[in-house]
Amino acid sequence: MIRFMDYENPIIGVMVTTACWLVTSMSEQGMLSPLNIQGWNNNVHPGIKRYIVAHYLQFDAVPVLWQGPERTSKWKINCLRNLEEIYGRNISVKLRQKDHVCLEVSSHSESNWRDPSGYDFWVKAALEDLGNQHKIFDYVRDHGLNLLCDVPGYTINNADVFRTHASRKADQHDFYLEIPDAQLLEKDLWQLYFHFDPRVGLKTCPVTGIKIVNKLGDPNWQIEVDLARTLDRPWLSEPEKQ
Amino acid sequence: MFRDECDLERIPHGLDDWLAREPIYYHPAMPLDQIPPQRCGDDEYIQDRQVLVIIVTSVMK
Repeated sequence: MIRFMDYENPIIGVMVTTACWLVTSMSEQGMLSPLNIQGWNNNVHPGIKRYIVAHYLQFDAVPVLWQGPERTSKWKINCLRNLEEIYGRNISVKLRQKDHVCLEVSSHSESNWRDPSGYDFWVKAALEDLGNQHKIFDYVRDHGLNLLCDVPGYTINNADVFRTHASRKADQHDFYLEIPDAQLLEKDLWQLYFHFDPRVGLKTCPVTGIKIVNKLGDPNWQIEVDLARTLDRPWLSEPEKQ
Repeated sequence: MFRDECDLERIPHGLDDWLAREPIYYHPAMPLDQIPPQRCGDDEYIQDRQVLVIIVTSVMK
């Protein structure tokens, strides 16, 4: 992932930095803006990045604005007022010509930014909130991922790029994961990277008891997140998990 | 209030008439596995998007 931080396509590098903003927001509030799905060509736009994060968080269901042949019973949108009842008025709407004329609705209620193309500019909001950097990325690159667990200390070098340290003294670090059960060490805990938010002081998983402790963040910002869902995504192939 | 130049919704002219004719539906809780697989525009974008999917859904060690 370090190599993708400087990926030649800046969108990818920025995503490595800012995806945590979406992950935290959707962990706390769910998906505020419905996905726009054009059923004629099976396309999701705008909303593809929230769609990806919804899979990362393993949401069961998400709100959807569906256009095209009706598949199931839904709420029919007949007028602008119907859109406002769903989104409020902080929206941008455009009709885009593809193989069909597609409706594209962006809600700005989460970021309060609109990009020059009229889409939600959450990346700008994220970069501003994060101070244009990902302090935790820098920390784990320099110090490795430290795991506080009741096991004899050990270190794993992951492809000579990342290091993972497990010990009973990991709480001496500014950022570490508290692992209550040594069996959880068999999981690929690096999968939790996009939960690492430099702003949040503590994320606790009510299912596994894993805690993401961030002394560099706001100690009063503490949330519960089902990290078990991220750690158990059966559709991912093994090479993608590694 | 937007933080850019506009503090009102941005709506194309004639949208109400268009909405009255087109099949648009709101589903407040569509199961994620019912959302169709995605199709992309060009090969370069597909490659980049696959990388994006990988880095968001997992971590490259």
